Amino acid sequence: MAGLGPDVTPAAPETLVVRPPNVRDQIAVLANLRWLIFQNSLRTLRGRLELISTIFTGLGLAVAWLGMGVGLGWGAWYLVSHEYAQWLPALFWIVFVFWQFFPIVTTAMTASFDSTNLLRFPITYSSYFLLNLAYGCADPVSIAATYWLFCIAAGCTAAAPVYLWTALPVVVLFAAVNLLLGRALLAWIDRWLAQRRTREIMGFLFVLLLISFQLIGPLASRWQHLSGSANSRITALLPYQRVLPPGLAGDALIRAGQGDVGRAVLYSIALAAYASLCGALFAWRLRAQYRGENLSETAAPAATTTRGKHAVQMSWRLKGLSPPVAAAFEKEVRSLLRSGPILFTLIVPVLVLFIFRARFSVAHHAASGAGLPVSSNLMPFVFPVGAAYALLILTNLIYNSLGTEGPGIQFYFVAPIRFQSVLQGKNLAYCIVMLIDVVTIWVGVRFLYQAPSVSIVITTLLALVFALQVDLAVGNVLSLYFPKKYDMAVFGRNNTSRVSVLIGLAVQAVIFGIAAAALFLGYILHRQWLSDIILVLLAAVALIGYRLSLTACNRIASDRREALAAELCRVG
Amino acid sequence: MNSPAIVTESLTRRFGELIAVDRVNLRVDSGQFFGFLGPNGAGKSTTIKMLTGLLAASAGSVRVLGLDLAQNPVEVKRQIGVVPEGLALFGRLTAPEYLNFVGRMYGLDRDTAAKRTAELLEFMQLADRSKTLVTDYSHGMQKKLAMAAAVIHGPKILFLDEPFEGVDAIASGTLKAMLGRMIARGATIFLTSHVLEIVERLCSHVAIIHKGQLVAQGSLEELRAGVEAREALARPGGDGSPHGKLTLEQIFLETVGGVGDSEQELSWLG
Repeated sequence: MAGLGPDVTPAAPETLVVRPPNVRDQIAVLANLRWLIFQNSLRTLRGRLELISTIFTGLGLAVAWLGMGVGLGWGAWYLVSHEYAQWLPALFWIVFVFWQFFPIVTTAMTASFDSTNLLRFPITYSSYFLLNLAYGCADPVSIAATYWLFCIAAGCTAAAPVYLWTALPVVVLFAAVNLLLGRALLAWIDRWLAQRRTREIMGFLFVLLLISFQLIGPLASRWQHLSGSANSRITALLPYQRVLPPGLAGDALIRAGQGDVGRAVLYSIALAAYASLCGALFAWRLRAQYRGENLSETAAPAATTTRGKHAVQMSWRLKGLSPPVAAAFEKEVRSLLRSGPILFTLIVPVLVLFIFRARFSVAHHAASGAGLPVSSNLMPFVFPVGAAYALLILTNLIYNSLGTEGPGIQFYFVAPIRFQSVLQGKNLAYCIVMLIDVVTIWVGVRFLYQAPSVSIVITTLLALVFALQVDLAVGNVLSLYFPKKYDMAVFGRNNTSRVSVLIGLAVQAVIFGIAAAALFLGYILHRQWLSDIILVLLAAVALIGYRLSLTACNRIASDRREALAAELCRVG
Repeated sequence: MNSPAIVTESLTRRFGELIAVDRVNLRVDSGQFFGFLGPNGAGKSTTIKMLTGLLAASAGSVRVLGLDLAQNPVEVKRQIGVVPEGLALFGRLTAPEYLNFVGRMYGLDRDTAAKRTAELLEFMQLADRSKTLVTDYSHGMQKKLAMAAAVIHGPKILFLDEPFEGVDAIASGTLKAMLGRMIARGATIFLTSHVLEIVERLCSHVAIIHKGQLVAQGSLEELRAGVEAREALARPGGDGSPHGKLTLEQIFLETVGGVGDSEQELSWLG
């Protein structure tokens, strides 16, 4: 502000410098903003590592998508040149599903760009609409899918030049439909996901959907004889798909190839109508945003409280535990029970048993007729492997046990407790989760495969006691050294510390190696009890280590309280 | 003179090269309503974090109710209540669950924790939202809950970091009523706030920190007298008596050297 001192002659307000906002300038400013954010992210080592991993992922995706474009182009050429042009809609369906499905998947898992942040600027509604559209055009999925469409157009034209005059406008219209439909879908989904509760439900349903895909193969194989020919079913659906955008785009090309210009134009007009409809849906949503809709989850004003009516709610009665440990345990269990993502993670091992049963039983049925899905040599290992898998899943939580605390972490440092009480409460909750998992797995193995023998169960439990204590000891320390904030309402893509992951993997390798060696020794010597004795000794040593680690955690927590608060209390 | 509730000696905190708090000697007597003021970045939050055990001091000492915080952290924490900057709430609990949890962490038995929880929820007008998760509370409701959690064990000293920030007039009234009761019963309250009117109305004693150093400390009257004396010295020709009682805002601005109307002229600003 040099030169603005009192000796300067006051100038007239420079209001003329301000021009009406220009949408092109605003897009440029937004692009520059993204660039600056990207540049600033590279200031930290973590940001640079993220860039490296993004480059690797991006290269892989680019190669896959380029290849897909070549494949679709070749497919279009093949269909047209070999007189299979009636299958052209199938290619448009591939692009359509990818364009619409892929962004929705990523939206359900992550926070998306919130364009309503732009509304505090002097922006007209049309600019707001165009900016949103521009953001959609710059999306990698849109770029890839548009490239695929042009590949299809090129393939058709290469096979028969007569397609040229129709293929280009048709793919442009089809791209417009996809772009507008995709943006409209995302805008509406963003609207529904604005509430935490809806976000959790949608995320939960989405993961269930992914799991259910695993079962499609086995179920289809099993019920094939009931369902009749798949071809006949698809053929029955063809008339219906013709009125949808991919069908219209494909049919417009087919008609153009047959010289039926009138129908080709008619289908193109229908595509344009779809584009208009999607645009209207998109505009409707954006209009509500532009007018300043309120999707806040803030509680409504409380109703008048009836004085003197005390709703006494007691904490759990947990005998044998000190009040802080009991409180920490209760709090951990309540939090876990209310977190869809975490709860789901913990029941995954049991679901996997069902999936494996379904898959293997089909393979086995195909190979040998009927009976158990796993060979008798492997049968004794189903229960131990299931239990080990459950422990492996649980380590996600154990190795970042403070990540879910958020700003609450500060409470532990102002409360008159030793930090080990908190960790003991948490560890106890994890032990209960593990116990429930093991019992459920036993029940699953008993009914899906074969009841494991008592000796196998005892050995597995001993191995688990040893492994769990080691994991808890190491996990407590790593949770203090490498905490990562964990949003309990978000499915997937919660950050995890790479260091924790690496150390965790090494620890698992050591644990499973030692336990396997103990088991193997008993197995080859035909002395199962020998394995059990070794595992009991290992568990005793692990218990001592665990106790020592708890004491050390008091000191580590005190030393690292600032770093913990900085990581877990940060916003965003 | 009352016995000291909080005493710091040369309390210092460094962040690398930056000295956030520089040899602060603070004394807060029992029963005082103490306001700790300072401009943004002056070191208020860093100091309160060191006083409550959230942050280790680089040098110096903190004594709370006669106990050295570094030597007896658990005993000190048993006697204080804290509403830190980030509120320290657990979003996945309901308010009764959270208060019960906090009560048990402070060593209350189940019955006492439950009884106090119910009373606090009534007092804070949160009883009818007792089934709602804390994460779905409004900011003001979260503030009230954090305050309830800080007092559930009946602390002798209450530390509040910006307790009235983002709180509406109704909630603010509830909080002030509770603080008033605590003071009437002999508790000590140490608060930081940017809202000088509130500090002026509530606090009997004030300290001002600026660039990490304590630049003023005492009762409001003492600070006022100090500023007036300085003004009289600076203007020997004047009659030495101000035209009215100095407000805390005037005292604050005089003490930290804040400028009134900027001499810079933003010619383009309409």
